[in-house]
Amino acid sequence: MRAQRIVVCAAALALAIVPAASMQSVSEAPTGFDNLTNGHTDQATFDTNREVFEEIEDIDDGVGPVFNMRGCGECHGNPVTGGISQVTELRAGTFNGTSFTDHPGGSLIHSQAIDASIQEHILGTQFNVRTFRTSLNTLGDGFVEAIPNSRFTEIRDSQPSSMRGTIINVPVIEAGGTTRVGRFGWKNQHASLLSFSGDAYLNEMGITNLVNGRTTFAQENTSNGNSVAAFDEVPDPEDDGDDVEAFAQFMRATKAPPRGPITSSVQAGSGLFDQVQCNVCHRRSITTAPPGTSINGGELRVSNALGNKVFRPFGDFLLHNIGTGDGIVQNGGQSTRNLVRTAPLWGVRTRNRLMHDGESLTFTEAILRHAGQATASANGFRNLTSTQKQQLVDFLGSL
Amino acid sequence: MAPYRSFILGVAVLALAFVAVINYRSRPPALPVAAEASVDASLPDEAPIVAPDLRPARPDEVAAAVVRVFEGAVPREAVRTHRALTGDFNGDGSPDLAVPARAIRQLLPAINGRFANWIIQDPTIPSPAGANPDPVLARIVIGGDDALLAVIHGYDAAGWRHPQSRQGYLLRAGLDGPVEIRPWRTLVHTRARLPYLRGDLICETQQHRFLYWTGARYLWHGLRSS
Repeated sequence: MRAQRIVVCAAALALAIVPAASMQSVSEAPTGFDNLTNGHTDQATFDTNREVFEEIEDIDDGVGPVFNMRGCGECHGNPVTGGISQVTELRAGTFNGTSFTDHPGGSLIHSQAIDASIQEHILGTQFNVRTFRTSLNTLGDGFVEAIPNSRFTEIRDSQPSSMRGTIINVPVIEAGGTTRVGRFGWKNQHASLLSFSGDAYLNEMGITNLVNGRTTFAQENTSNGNSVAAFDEVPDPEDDGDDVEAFAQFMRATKAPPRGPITSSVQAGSGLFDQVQCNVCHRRSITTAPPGTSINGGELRVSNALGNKVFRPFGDFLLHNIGTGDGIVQNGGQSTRNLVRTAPLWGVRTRNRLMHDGESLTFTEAILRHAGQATASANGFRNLTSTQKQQLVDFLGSL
Repeated sequence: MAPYRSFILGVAVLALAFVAVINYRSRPPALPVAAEASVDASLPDEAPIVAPDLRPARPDEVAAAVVRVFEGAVPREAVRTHRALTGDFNGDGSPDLAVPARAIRQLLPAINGRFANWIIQDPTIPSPAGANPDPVLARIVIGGDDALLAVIHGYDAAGWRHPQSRQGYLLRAGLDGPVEIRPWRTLVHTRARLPYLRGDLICETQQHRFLYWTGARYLWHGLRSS
C-alpha cells in the first residue's frame, strides 16, 4: 500500500512539473535595429525576403495605375527596413451626422498615378471626412501576429471600464475569410501579416496579387470609382502570391524595436508612465502563444522563434476613442468611426510626427492631445511637475 | 525490507518523472499544440453623450474654468468673460468653451512654458501633415500684445464645467466684430468649398470666415476666398 502511495505521489509530482516546465520556456523576444533575423527564418532567407520588401517596382511590374508608393521600404524604412516613415496616406468619405460612407473608389485616396488623367482627388464638399494616416512600424510584427485571440480579451477585461479597449474580429484572407482578432493597421483592419501584405501591395502600390491563391486583392483599384483598365498593361494578378508571402515572412522574422539608452531620468519617467496610467493602453508587455499553436484560421503555426515570447510593444493593439478621430470606417462597423488603435510606442523615438495623423510634433503636444478615454491619463500628466514631465518625455525618447 | 523496497520504488518513479520532464522540454514542438480560440468581439453602440449641459455660461463659471485650465498663465482679469462662446467645437458631443483673452506680459514665460498644460496654436497656419513642416517646427510663441482665444474642450455631459475638463488650446487669434456659433451642418448645403467639419463653427460674420476644428488644430476658413 505504501509503495502505491509513493507511486501516486511521484506521478502527481511529475504531472505538476511538466506544465511548470512548459511555462518556464517563455523568454524575451529579441530586439534590434540590425537587419538580423529573429530566428523565424534563417538569415539568408531573411535577407532574400528583405530584398523583396525593399524592391522598388515599376509600371512594368504592375505598379499603379493609382498608387501611393513603389516599394514597401519607402513607407517602412526608418531606421532600418521594416520601420516607419513620415509618409502619410490620405483617406476620405462622407459623414452625414449618423453614418460614414466611403469616397467613390474607396476611402483611400491614392496620391500618385501613372497618368495625370487618372490622378485621384477628393471630389467635393460632400466628402467632408478627410484624414491623414502615418505609416506604421512593422518591425516585430511577427510577435504581434502570434498573440492568441484570448490574450486580447484578457487585456481588455483588465482595463478600467472608462479606458476599456474595443476588439473587432476581421477576415483572415488566406483562410477564406475566417475571422480573427484584428491587430494590424490604424483601425485594426487586419489580423494576419499575409492579409496585410496583400492589401498593401494592392492598395498602396497598385499591384494586384493572390493571397494563398485567393483573389481578394486580384482586381485593380479605380480612380475615384472610374476604371483604369485603359492604363493597365500588366495582366492581373500582377503577383502570383510569391511577393506577398516574402513580405509576410520578412515581417515575421524581424526583431522588435530595441530600447535606447536608459538614464536615471528615463528610469524615473518609466515610473511616472505607470503612475499616470499610460500603461493601461500603452501596455508594457504581451506574451505570444506557445510554439505550434494554430493561428490565422489554421493557415499558420506559431514558430519556435515567435512562440512563448514576451515582447514589449507599449501598446494593447485595441481600439480606443481618445478624441482624435479619425472618422473613417473600415472593417469594424460604424461604431468604430472614431476609434483608432493604440499607437504601440516601441521605436517611437524614430518618429518626429506623432499620433495617427502625424499632426503632433512633440511628445508633450501628443500627450496633451489625448482626450476621451485617455482624459484621466492626460490630466495625470498635467498634474506632474516640469521636472517629472521632462522625465516622462525622456522615457518616451528611450522607446 | 518493505520500507527499503518502497524507497527504491519511489526513487525509480521520481527518476522516470525527471526523465519525462527532460524529454518534454527538449522535444520538437508539437504541431499543433492547440488552435487559438475565437473570441466574442461584440461592439458597443457609439454612445452619445446624454443631455449635455447647455446652460448659458455665467461669467463666474467662465473665469473659474479658464483659471482651472490655464492655471498661472491666464488670470481672471485677462478674460473677457462676457464674450464667452459655447458650443461643441470639436464635435465629440460634449460642450466646449471659447473665450477671448489677452496675454499679460509678465505671464508670458508661463504662457509659453515648455511644459505648459495647453497647446498654443496659430489658426492661420495650416496642418503640417504631408507638407514641409519647417514653418511650423519653429514653435509658436505668444507675445505681449497678442489677442488670444482660450478654448476649453469639454468632458462628458458637463462639458467645460466638468472638473476633468482640462484640455485647453490658446489660440493666437482675436475675434473681430460680431461672432456667432453655427452648427457645421448649416454650411454643408452651401456652394462654398469646405474642409472636413465635425463641430460647431465660430463664425465672424462680417469677416466672412469661421474658425473650425480639424481634429488636431483650429484653423480659420474664409468663405469668400473659396
